[in-house]
Amino acid sequence: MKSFFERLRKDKVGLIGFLGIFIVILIGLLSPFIAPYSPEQMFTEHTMEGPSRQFIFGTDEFGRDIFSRIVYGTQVSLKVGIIAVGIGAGCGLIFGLISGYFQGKVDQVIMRIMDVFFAFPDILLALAIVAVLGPSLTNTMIAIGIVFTPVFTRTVRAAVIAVKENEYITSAVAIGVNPINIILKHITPNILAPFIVQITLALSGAILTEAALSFLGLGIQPPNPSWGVMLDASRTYMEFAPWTILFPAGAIVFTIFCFNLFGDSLRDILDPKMK
Amino acid sequence: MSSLLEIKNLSIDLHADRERFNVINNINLTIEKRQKYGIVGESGSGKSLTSLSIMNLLPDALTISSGDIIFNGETDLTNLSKKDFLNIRGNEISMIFQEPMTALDPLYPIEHQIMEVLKFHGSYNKKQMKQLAVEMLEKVGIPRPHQLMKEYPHQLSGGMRQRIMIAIALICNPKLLIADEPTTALDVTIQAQILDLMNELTDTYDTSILMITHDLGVIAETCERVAVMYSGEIVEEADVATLFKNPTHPYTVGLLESVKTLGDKSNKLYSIPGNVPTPKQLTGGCRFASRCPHAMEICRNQAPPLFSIEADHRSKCWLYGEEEVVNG
Repeated sequence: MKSFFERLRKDKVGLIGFLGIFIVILIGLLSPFIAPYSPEQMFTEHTMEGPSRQFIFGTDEFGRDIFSRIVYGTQVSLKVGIIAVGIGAGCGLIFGLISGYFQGKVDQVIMRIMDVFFAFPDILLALAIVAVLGPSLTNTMIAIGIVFTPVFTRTVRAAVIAVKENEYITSAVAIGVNPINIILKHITPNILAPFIVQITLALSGAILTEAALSFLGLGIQPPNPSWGVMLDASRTYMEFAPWTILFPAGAIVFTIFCFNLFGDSLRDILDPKMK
Repeated sequence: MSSLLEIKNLSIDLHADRERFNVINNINLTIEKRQKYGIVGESGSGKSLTSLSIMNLLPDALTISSGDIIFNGETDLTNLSKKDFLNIRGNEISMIFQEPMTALDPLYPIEHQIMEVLKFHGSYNKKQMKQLAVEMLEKVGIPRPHQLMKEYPHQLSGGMRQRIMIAIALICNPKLLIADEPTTALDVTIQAQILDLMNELTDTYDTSILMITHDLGVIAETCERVAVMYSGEIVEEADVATLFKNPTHPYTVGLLESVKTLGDKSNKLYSIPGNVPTPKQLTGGCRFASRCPHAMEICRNQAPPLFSIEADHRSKCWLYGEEEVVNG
């Protein structure tokens, strides 16, 4: 762990990403203290005002403070990102381990099902699932989790197959370690590097997908503050009140950018060949 | 008294492209208690597969098509349940692999890897396991074992790692130690040390060794009995002294000639012409016929059985076609 931070410090780009994520998480955790107003409080005499000293990011058509809404939207985005990726990564890890370790028919069945999911564009699949389950925060997370499962399954399966060929696995079998312990104690820890990298990349994808779903009106339902919902609501006023769309979009861009920077440098840091 | 390990008529098939190819053909060998048995052969002769089949570690594409592997006079390893095998592996039969650099899990310190064997075979508490592990590391000649217990595999040299593999293999006092090219990846000075260590420890622990190697020097140094394998068959089997003094099979002769001896002034190394036939190329006759300097008509058409040359010396060659071993 110590060497992890040492190497991160040398990687300036990764460090920027890491600090950015840290700030975003902090904003999410401390949003009631950071936001000057409630995200739903309407200042009826201040609708559609540009950035001012009172409302630093301006107000929307109902006179709600955009800065406060973005701050609270961070909570939603992070929650959706973490839980959805948790679902996808968890299922992917289980399927990938089974698929890669046992191979044969089980592998064929699992991977062909994943191929079917892969055949759809992410957004289309998430849309279809939300359309079936009904739009809500929970269903958005489930849908995004399902969308991300195949990517994780493939990543994990490929890593398992590569690790399984190592002699230390054979020699663990040769000293009488049972299959469950082989999988949990020897294979799983050895595939964590690509798995963790995939998680950081998927986090940004999940936040983006949530924003897109909300933008299309099938994700988080207004008046809940979500970056996607804010984009959707403000698109009509884009021309004469650009601040209503600029700042939520900026929040999305910043978060995704930080996650991607960090994910990229994490891949280098965790690659044993780069040590 | 029964033998420790008896391999009877063992054949192994490879499944590829919806076809079956025979890779190990009708092998018989017997390892007595406390015996040091060597299998020697070039790459692709099937010596490693033989050892893997004993431990039931064959890759999925390979299956035992016939034969028995009788351990300790009673257990047939070829149809032992997976659960029962967990008890045999590491406890009754241990294995040392060729590549000490990759045979230890890179993520765990040494102590974890040694104690893992004890965890699965026996009921020790943590303190006892640690104690046993340190004692074992001392026995394999590792200086400052307490400190080393906390280190990770990448901090150690190849020789050290192979010592640790030996410690792991012997800590449960197995009856048989299978060593698959244990010194091939090490440099020569370390090789001798490791072989001496294995000899010494197996003597004190009353463990038999099955030594798999392509190096006749290793055989000469460690083994009492030796089987020469070629293309999935045992072509000659004898005591080590007999084999070196009086090799009979043309392949063994070629193998011995290709060893460069000290003082040999000629610059050219002897090599047996040709390559080991792949399983797909096999025809009905003797598998060595295409490379044999003495090949006769019969060799190309009919596979020779194992002929008895003298007591305990058998050779699979038509040149010695008088007294056939019935159990061949």
